[in-house]
Amino acid sequence: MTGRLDELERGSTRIFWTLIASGIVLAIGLAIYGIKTTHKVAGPLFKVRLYFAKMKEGRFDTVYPLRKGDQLVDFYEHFRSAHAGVVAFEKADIAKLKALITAAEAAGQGDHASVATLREILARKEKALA
Amino acid sequence: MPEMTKAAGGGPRPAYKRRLSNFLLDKKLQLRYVLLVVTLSGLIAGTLGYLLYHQRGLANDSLANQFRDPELARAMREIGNTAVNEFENDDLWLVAKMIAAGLGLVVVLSAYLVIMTHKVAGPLYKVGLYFDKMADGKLGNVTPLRRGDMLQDFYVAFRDMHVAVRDRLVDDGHQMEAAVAELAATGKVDDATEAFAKHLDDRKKRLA
Repeated sequence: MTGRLDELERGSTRIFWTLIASGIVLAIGLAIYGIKTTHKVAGPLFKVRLYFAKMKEGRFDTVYPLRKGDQLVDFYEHFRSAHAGVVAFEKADIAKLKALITAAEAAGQGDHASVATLREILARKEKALA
Repeated sequence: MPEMTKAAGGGPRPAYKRRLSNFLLDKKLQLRYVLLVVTLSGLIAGTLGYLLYHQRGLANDSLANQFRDPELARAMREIGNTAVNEFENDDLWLVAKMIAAGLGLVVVLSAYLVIMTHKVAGPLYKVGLYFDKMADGKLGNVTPLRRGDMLQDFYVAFRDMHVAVRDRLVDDGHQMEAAVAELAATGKVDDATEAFAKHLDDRKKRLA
C-alpha cells in the first residue's frame, strides 16, 4: 500500500516537472523557430522597402537577388519585374528623347529653348538609371 | 502568385466573393506554419495526455486492487465490482475527452493560423498585383488596404513609392509635352515631333 502511494506521488511529481519542462522547451523552441522564420520573411520585406525608398527618390539602380534560404522568393521576383517595368518605361523615354534631340540638332534647332529642356529631362533620366 | 485581374474586354471587374479558398493565397507559406504549429501542439498534447492517462490508470488500478482484497471483497463484493466498472468507464470517458480536446485544439489552431497568415499574405498578394501592372509599365492609382490587414507600414511605403514614381512620370510627361509643342511650332522637325507625340499618348494611357 505504502509502495503504491509512493509510486503515485512520484508519478504526480514526474507529470508536474514534465509539464514545466515541456512548457519551457516549447516556449524556447517556438521562439527560436519564430525568430528564424520571421527573419527569413522580414529580411526580403526590409530589402524591398530599401528599394522603395530609392525608387521614391527617383533612383532605379540594380536590384540584387535575395540571400539563399530567404522566404518570399516569388514575391521578390515580382518586385524585380515591377522595378524592371519602371526602368523599361524610363529607357523608352530616354530612347525617344535622344531620337528627338538628334533630329532637332540635325534640323538646326539644337539651341532652341525646348531642346534644352528636353536635354535636362534626358540627363535626369539617365542619372536615375546609373 | 497573383495574376492580372483585368476583366475581359475591359468591362467591370466581377464582385469579390469571400470564399474559404481565398484565405490561402500563398498556400506554401501559410500551410507550412499551420502544419508546424499543429504538429508541435499535437505532439505535446499527446505526450501530456498519455502521461495523464497513465497516471490515472495507476491510480485506478491501485484503488481497484484494494477492492479486490479478499477480506474486503467478501464484505463489499458488490460495491467493489461496481467501483471497478465505474473506474473502467471513467477511463474510456477520459480517452474520449482527450481525443475531442486534441481535435478541437487542431481545428482551432488551424483556423486561427490560416486567418492570421491570410492577414499577412493578403497585403503581399495585393502588392503583387500592382507589381504585375508595374512590370507592364502601367502605373495607375493604388487603393488602401482593408482594415485589420497586417503589413500596413510596408504597404504605406509601397504606396508612397508608387505615388512618387507615378507623379514624377506624369510631371515629366507634361514638361516633355510642352517642350515638344514648342519644337513642333518651328515646323522643322515634324516627323520626330509626331513620333514623340505618339510616345506621349502611349505614356498617358499607361499612367491613367
